[in-house]
Amino acid sequence: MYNFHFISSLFYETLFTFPFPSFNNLNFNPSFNFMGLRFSSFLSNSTVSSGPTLGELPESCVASIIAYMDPPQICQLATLNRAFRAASSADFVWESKLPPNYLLLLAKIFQDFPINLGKRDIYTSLCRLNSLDGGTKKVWVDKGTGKLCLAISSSKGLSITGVDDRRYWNYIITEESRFSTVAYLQHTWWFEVDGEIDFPFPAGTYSLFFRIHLGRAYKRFGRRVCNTEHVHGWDKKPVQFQLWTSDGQYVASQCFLKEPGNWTFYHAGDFTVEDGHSSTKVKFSMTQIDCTHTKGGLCLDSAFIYPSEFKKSKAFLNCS
Amino acid sequence: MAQEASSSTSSKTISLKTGDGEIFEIEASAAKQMKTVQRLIDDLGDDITIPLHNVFSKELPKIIEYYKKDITGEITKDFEAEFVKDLNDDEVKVLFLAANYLDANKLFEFLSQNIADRLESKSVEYVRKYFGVENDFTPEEESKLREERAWSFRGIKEDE
Repeated sequence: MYNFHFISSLFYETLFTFPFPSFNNLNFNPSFNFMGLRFSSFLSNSTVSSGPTLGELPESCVASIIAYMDPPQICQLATLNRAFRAASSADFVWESKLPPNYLLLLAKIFQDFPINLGKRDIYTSLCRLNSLDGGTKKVWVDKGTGKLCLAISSSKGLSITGVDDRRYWNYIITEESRFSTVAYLQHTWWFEVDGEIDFPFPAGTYSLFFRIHLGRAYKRFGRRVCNTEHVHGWDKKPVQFQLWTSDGQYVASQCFLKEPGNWTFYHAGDFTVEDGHSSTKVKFSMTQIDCTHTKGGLCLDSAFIYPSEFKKSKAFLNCS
Repeated sequence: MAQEASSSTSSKTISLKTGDGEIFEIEASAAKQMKTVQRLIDDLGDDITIPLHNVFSKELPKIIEYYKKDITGEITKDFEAEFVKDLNDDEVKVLFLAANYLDANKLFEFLSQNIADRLESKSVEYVRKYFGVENDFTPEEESKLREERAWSFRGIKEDE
């Protein structure tokens, strides 16, 4: 009995012919080529056998291979055929991609998370830009790596000295942030930004950054223009960074703020989380409180916490 | 039914006969790692040549080589890299299918990883050809798929 796949072959490109090995595939249908069209036959002893085909592999075998792939690729391959689609939703494939403490993350991020959702849907949910603490923070899992990232907004997420004094600070609406506003400093003697976060970070090492823009950007006739008239004082003394964790880690550093006109990530320090089963409390600050000079013209977007390995792997973090 | 393993099993060899009629010897302890073989031994006894209809003389020696190393605990990253280095895509596929048939878990997992590595960053069409897979979705299923993909991993834009 022959199966002719004429209809499907009209729509799909002809398949390559694999080199012929000297064996017969007895445990599944062998295939052969005729005039570039691919047929499969139920003959167990075909004299013309094509190369090894994994097309009839059971779903569990497909799942085993795709379990080693990265999530975006797994999702792409769901479109291959039914076996791939089923395999790409298999719980065990996604279990290994989820942060180990994902149940804790779900409890912290979502009010009522349906626990009988498949692991793939859990992963997808965690990969969205989820809001925390009334929208002052956003937390998400990086879809390619399964690692957790966090952003803390300058608008009510961070504590900025003098932010309520409109002589010094204003909030401006922007499209250039994950939040809708950023804080703009015209000038001040005492530049101090503090923040803290209490969150069940999965075990690993994390880096904290401040995303900063010297100058004020806006759109004129559709083009991005940057006004640097208020930028001053940052070349006189460096900005000081400090970071503390509740388990006693401390790091301090300093650097000069540079590069007007570009959003830059300034690395404040790293911290390590040993155990994802409990919450980690981190406090951090950025200061320039030398009162011999004023400084200004700065946009503060947010503080970011990224897995430390992103410093090497993500180009946008190539910071000073 | 085979007797319970005696103390001499550790040096005992099992004869395996491939689908194309060739005979290979392996250590009984290596045979234990291949559950299909072990089941056949349990049913047929360990003195009989075990027939493996779906494994052939081209790939069985490679599998035996892998498990020879495994039982002496010598499988290292270097060995594994060397093991697959000169294998082309078809040879890897044949080994993978054989490992699946033999229920040889360690080799199966290793080859799963290797195939995934070979397919890393490759296009969907490339993977389709690699597996020889045909699209068997109905048009309704296809459009449902496209909808699903639209919302899954809704973009987190990375910073420039």
